[in-house]
Amino acid sequence: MAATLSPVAATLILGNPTVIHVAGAVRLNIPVMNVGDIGLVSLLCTNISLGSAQRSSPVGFPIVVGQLAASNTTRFAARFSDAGLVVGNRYLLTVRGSYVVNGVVYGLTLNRYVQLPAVTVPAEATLSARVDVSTSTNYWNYKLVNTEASGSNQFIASLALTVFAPVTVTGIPPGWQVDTDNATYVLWTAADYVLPYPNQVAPGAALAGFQLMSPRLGSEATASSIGGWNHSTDDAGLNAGDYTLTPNRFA
Amino acid sequence: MFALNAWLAELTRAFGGADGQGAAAIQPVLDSPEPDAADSAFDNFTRSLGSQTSRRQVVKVSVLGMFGALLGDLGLREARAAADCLCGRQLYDPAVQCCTPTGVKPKHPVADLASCPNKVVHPGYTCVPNGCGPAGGTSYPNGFGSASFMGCCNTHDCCYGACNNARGGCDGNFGTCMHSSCDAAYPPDIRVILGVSVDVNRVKRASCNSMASSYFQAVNNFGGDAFTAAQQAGCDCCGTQPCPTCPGGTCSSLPSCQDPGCVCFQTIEGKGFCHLPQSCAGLSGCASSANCPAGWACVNVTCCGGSAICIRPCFVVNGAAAVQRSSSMASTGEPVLTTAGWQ
Repeated sequence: MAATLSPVAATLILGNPTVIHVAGAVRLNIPVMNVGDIGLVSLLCTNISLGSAQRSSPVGFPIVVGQLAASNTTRFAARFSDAGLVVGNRYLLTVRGSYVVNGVVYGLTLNRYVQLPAVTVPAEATLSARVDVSTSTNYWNYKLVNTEASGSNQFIASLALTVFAPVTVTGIPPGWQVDTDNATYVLWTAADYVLPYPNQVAPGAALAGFQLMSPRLGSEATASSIGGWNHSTDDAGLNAGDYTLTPNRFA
Repeated sequence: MFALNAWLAELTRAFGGADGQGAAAIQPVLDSPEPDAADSAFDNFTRSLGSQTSRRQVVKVSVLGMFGALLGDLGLREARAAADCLCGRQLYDPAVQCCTPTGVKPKHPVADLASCPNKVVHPGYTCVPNGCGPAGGTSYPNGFGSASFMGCCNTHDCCYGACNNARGGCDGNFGTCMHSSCDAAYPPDIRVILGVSVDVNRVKRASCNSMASSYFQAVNNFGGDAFTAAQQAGCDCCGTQPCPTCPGGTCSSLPSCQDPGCVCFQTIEGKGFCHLPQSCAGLSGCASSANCPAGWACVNVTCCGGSAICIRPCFVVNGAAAVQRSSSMASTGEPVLTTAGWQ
């Protein structure tokens, strides 16, 4: 049902997404465009689905966009397992969320069919690694997991988080250090300066102990990056970007 | 000012869960185009929006009452008057459409950038950037530690949305900006540690630059769709265009409507109408254009006599006019009385 009772509701559409099919995964870059005449605020994405495919990213919601002015576009990233999907078939992409115009909250459901392209080789190699997150009241705990194959030269040297809430860093693993302004970013780095960088996280290894405290209770998905270090070249290595749960900016 | 607590409370009621399953509790705004039509191209969305706007307008009139209805009606009259502009064989409304070398196109949002060679900045467009977004299906943070990419991302967003900007320039400046942020945040800092001089910022600076390079590459490889979307939203297909009209006339002095073989008629409602002449025989009478087949018009000044009749349009609808052209005249070679005279 598309009818609306409000004369001020914004007009949002789902643009043509970029669909990248790499071995085992489908990655989407999803533009949402405000093609109406009025701006909106408090735009949230609360779910992204692709048919019945298993979503691997974002692992949690909401993604908070905030303001989206008239004729402006925002984008979301999502990653799904390609298990059960057939190349050439079309699958319904759905983005759900909400936004506010003139103090009124509107629900948002945008649909679009996308066709699964053939598997391609990634345009750029990425670090095989992830961040596991667990939360308890006012605390966010992170564990770095290096899933590079044994024998890989890619070690983990940093974890960069974007945050939008007041935070205090309450966990720094031994041998690591932190840079933060307690409001917009947190950067943990291995406190190593020369080979063999003993505190970096080796392929197949994991490191917990990264912790934030915040007065907020809820979470939101914000962008993060795991930085790799190549021990063969003794230079920066591959990176892995993704959404990670951090304290919610509102509550 | 929007009350945050009230909004959160309403949001909680509305969604009930993180995945928004309760969204039906609040008013859906754009429940997408129908799935079958949803995947082909941006123009499908534009069509959907057109129908959406009509529904909204109807509701608006009913909600706002007489005053609103009066305004709406005035607006409608203006639209009718403006819709008499000619684009080749078609009539169009320059307020919301553009006459392009490939026909009439929606003015905003731009459905197909390539078909609009004279794009201009959309009057309602003001870039309001919202930081660093994902690229190539990967999300990237707003910076690396104290090296903030926010300014670079915001500038890049606005560069993409600025009508007629070149994408390559936007991307190049974006990459340069991020690398500058990395180098400024983590300059060489030589210290002696355990008797060895080391640059304690080297790993951070290199990691920051590596992430900036990854982000730049993703934007460079996969930013085409984002650029297209931003240009579609930030541009109008055309600026103000002249308005050749189709004023109609009298039998034997019917003006051309820019299309060989087609002439202008005045509908019974007073609009110009571009018509492909056809035999008078068998044309049905009418009291208004609403009595005629879709796309046809009711006219009372023709060469077929004084009665109002339904006449067909000139423009092509799925090739139908081509068929009509070939069958518009008798094949016997005998003169035939047509809507535009003896032929």
